[in-house]
Amino acid sequence: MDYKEYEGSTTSPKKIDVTRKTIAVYAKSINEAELVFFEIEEARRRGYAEIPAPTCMPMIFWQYLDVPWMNHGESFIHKNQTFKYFEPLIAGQTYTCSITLKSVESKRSFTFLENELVGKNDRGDVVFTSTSTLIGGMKK
Amino acid sequence: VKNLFNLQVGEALESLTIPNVSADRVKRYAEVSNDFNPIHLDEKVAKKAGFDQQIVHGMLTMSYASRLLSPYLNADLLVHPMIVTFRAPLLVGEGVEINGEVKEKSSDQIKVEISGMSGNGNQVLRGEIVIRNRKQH
Repeated sequence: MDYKEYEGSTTSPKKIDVTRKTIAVYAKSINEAELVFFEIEEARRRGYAEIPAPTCMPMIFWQYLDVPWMNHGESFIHKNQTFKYFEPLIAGQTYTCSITLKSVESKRSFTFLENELVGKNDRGDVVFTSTSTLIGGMKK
Repeated sequence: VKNLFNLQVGEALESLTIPNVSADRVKRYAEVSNDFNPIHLDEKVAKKAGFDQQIVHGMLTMSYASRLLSPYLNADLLVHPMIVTFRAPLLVGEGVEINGEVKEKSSDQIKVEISGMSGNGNQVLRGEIVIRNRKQH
């Protein structure tokens, strides 16, 4: 598989609805107990207009995007991950998300893919970026 | 709500311990993320890949690490950025302890160094979380 041919490619954008329910389901899956992720009163007490999402939640948005360069059956291991927020990700909003294959590097038998997921609000402002460096060709 | 900016450089945040990241927890995360890579769920596949048993999704472990800051979050604060390197696999059934320590602090941001150690003493992740106070900008 020649990932280089995909370098610089971006997926089709996908609108993803973030709701109180999707936040609660995700928060429970990571055993989050802070009420701010479950109760609007607590969210408002902390100054949010709506219930905020836990920091790492955008990673589950991958499932809604068709990422052509990840459709070849090769197994990857997650090496590095970065999240950067420009405003809080909150319930009741629709975010337009896409993933770009920022770089492809080969070192010995390993392939390093740097993917950037970007989420924008309805004004087109970037709300968050999520950068994932994945390694393929790994054998322990 | 705790005030993050009351913490001093060198001060540790309250650590977080997950005594047993069970197969059920991993299955639940697989369902929520739709990441059913068998290396997380199927012992045979994990062993074939060279691991002693199924491995926990790195993103589940990182999500646990993000919880260190949850008691402090408010609408003025932004995670900018949270950076993690996955250093070793966490095996299903192992425990993990997440620790954080304030490394830098200014009037508008604070940097917390984080580390995740497995029950076997392996560092499974390390990184940092920088929190910015938007009110100061």
